[in-house]
Amino acid sequence: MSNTNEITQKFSSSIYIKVFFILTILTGLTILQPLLIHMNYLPTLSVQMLIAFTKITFVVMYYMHIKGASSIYKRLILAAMLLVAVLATFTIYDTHIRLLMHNDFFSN
Amino acid sequence: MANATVEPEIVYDKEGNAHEVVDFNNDYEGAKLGFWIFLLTEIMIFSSLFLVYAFYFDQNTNDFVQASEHMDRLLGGINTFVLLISTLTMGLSVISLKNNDVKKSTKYIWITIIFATIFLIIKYNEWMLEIGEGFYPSSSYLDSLGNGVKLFFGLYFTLTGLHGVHIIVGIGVMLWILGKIKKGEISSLNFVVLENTALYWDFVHIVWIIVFPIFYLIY
Repeated sequence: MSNTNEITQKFSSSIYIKVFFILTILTGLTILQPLLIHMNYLPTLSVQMLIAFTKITFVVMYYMHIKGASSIYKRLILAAMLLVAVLATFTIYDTHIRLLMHNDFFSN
Repeated sequence: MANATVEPEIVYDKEGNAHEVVDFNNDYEGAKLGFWIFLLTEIMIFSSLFLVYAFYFDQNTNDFVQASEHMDRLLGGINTFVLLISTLTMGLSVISLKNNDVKKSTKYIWITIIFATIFLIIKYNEWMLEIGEGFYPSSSYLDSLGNGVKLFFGLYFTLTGLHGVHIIVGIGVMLWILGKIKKGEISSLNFVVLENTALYWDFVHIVWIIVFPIFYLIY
């Protein structure tokens, strides 16, 4: 069996170059945003993360060929994301509880 | 054992008919799936570190914002574009090989290696600048600053160091692939290794997409 596969056959260099220009514009926005629009750290971080996840979506969909790939790859990525989300939830919950306990201890 | 012959591997279908397994070492889907599972372990490693960053950022927000002001945004920004271009050239090398243009594919891999090396040189200079200013773990200057600043630089050196190790591994794999292409072991009919390396390189790029704003741009 050769490696010729319909997943990879769909993509051409023109798609790569188009995505590259989109990523370049988004990278420019990433660098310019804090210089041009002065905001507090929280809105800045939110905007930066929004741009970062947009860039990641383009890379995963077009450069890593997930767009048009079989569902097993999409499910694998989703499973990894869910696992990270579970870890994040436990960490946030743990941090919150510790903070409550800390405040209770010093208030008594 | 010099004259030992390899016994053919036989599998049976539902009707009990025997079939010889051929080409079992060239399983495209298996190779891709296996590599994606490897990438998922990598996602877990870096996600854990990003989670540690988020935790300490929440606990030491002001220190992190203050520490971020010491970062060299110009060098970080240049490195972002360097990795972005290298991701494109890596992808183009795969397309060229699929189109049976081995020479062009080899050229693109070499360009990717050059950009990866530029990234490392810039990162090395950046680290040296930061170390020169006293921002390195256990330095007396860093110890005199807040705990949050120490945590920020500890995480910065850990994450960018681990990322740098991935870049070095990537360069090594690309050089190995160039040898394989030269021998004809990777070709337009057998390109899954190059395709998986391109996936790895995309992942390295993705990590930097997150690392850059959280360390350089949170002021």
